[in-house]
Amino acid sequence: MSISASTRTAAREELLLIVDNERGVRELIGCTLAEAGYQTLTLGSGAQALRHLEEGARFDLIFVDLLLKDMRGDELIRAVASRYPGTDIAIMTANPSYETARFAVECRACGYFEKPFEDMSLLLERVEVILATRRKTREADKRVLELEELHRELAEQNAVLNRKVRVTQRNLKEQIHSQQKSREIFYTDLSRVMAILDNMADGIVFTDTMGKIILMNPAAAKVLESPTFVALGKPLTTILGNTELLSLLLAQRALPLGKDGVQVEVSTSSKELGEEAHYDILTNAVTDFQGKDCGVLSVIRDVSPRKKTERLKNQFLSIVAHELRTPVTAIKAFATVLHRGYRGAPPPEHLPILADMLSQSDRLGHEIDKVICLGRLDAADFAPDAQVVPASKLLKQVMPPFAAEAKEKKLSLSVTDEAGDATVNADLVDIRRAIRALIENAVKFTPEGGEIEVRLVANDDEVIFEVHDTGIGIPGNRQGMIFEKFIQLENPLTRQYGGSGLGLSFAAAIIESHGSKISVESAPEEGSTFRFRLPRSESAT
Amino acid sequence: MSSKKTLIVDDEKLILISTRIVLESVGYEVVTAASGEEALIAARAAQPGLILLDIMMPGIDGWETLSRLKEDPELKEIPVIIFTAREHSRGRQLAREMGAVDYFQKPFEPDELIEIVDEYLVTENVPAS
Repeated sequence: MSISASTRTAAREELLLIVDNERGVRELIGCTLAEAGYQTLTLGSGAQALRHLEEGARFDLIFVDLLLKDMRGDELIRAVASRYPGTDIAIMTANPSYETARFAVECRACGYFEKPFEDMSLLLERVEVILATRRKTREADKRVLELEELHRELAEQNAVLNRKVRVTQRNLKEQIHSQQKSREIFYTDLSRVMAILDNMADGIVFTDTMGKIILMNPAAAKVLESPTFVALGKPLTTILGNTELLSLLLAQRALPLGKDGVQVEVSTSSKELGEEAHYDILTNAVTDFQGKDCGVLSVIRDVSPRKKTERLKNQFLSIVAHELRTPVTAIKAFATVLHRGYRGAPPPEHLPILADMLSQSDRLGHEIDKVICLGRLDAADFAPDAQVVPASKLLKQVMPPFAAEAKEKKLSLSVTDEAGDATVNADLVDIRRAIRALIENAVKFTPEGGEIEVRLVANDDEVIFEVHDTGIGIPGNRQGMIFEKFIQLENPLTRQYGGSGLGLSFAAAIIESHGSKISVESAPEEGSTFRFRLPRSESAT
Repeated sequence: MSSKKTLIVDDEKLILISTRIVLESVGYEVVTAASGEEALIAARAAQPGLILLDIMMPGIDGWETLSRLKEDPELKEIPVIIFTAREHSRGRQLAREMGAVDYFQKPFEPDELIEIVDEYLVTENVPAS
């Protein structure tokens, strides 16, 4: 075996193997090729060739003589072809025949040389061609590999893009779906709101900042006697219908409207029913979520049924009052007659009983007043049935009913009347009821041994009534509550002190109906002073 | 007109009896009528110095009775005091407008009744306030 490399010509990369058991032949070929610049290896047996291959040697071209000593050349060729594909093999034979030529074709040999070689330059030429082809093939293979790599990369990128496209498509679909869904929800909500507005008992009119009607629900259209389809989009000023209500809506819009707006109660005769109808109209400014003015909203509420109920309630109360007061009047009269001894002096032991009868019937009368009058005072159109009366009359007949209870509780009850000849314009009966309620309150909430002072004084302008007690008092933070109906401050007190809890609200309603107000000064455990003022009036003739 | 008689008009027997007892106890003469119609007849017959007139009565009510009294030349000078157990808004005002001299809410204080009757029957027809 020998490896030869030429130094005379430019070294070539290719490594060639020549396997022939004839040493002369293999050396001739080896030398010729080495001189041409190839690296060559010459071996004498198939086994040697296979060992080299097994050890990792790779050859660009292997010359194999078909007639080897240790194995047949075709065996070696088959072994090489099957184990090391891509190895070019050139066949050499000293006995060219149809079979060997066919074998060369079968095993895809790239060369078929007949021995002995007559012209070595021909061999070189052939080797040149074979290796050139091999180089080209190699290059082509490389290009193919590169292209395949490129193709794979492109395929991968394509796959990534496809995935992206699919994800984007899915997202778009989802977006479209959710948009459709929110549209559906929006329209469902909208139609619900419309249905609510359409079916609302209250009339709704909304005008934009230019005064144009943006919304008018059927209830409003009915009350205003103006069809919605005519009114929508038109300025409120141009709408025809119930002039009274329409001009009211316009008048309200001319006012400085806040969020709370303005409210009026109006009575109008309805075209449809021909009878009087009552409406509450509440108009307020509307701002959008950014706080910008976006228009004016009016809510028209039909309060006719409530008015009717109120009327019926007052009628009922009036009748009940009559039924309850008649027997009280009689009992009171009879008790007075007996107590005074108008029909002969009563036995002394009956006197306190008769006094109790008097004060209890009196109390009953007052309770009836409270219940019945509160209903009357609640009526929206209530005004006192006033006349000019001397202030001195206010305290008359008010004190005696408390005398017994005050005595029992050892209260000192003092009355100062310094009103002189002052007169007030008042409903005497009602003011007396209020005064009674205030004194009753003082007596009720003043513990045993306390003091109650009732004072009526007059200055140049006013008559002032006050009742001062040394009772349990009212904490400052609760003083606003005490004039509410059915309120006694501590629940346990309800049991401790009894009563309906109507007294102070009753008194407050009466004084308010006279355009005044009850004030209270109080400290817990120290006592309270309730006070109200009535303007002096010109004396009556 | 210096009669010391008082005519009490009320459809409630209890009121008639109890009022009568109170006024008679302090020495007044009392005539009673249980309806508006009776009241007009009794007023003509008894010529009272004062009439106490209830409002809610069957037949002609107190208001109607009052206006008939005031239309009658013979009776229109008799002072009339309305006294009622009902709650009337503006009852006092209406009573004054229709010529009544005062307006009483039942249950009244017997003392107050006596006082007011005194005012009209003892002093000779003081003009109404």
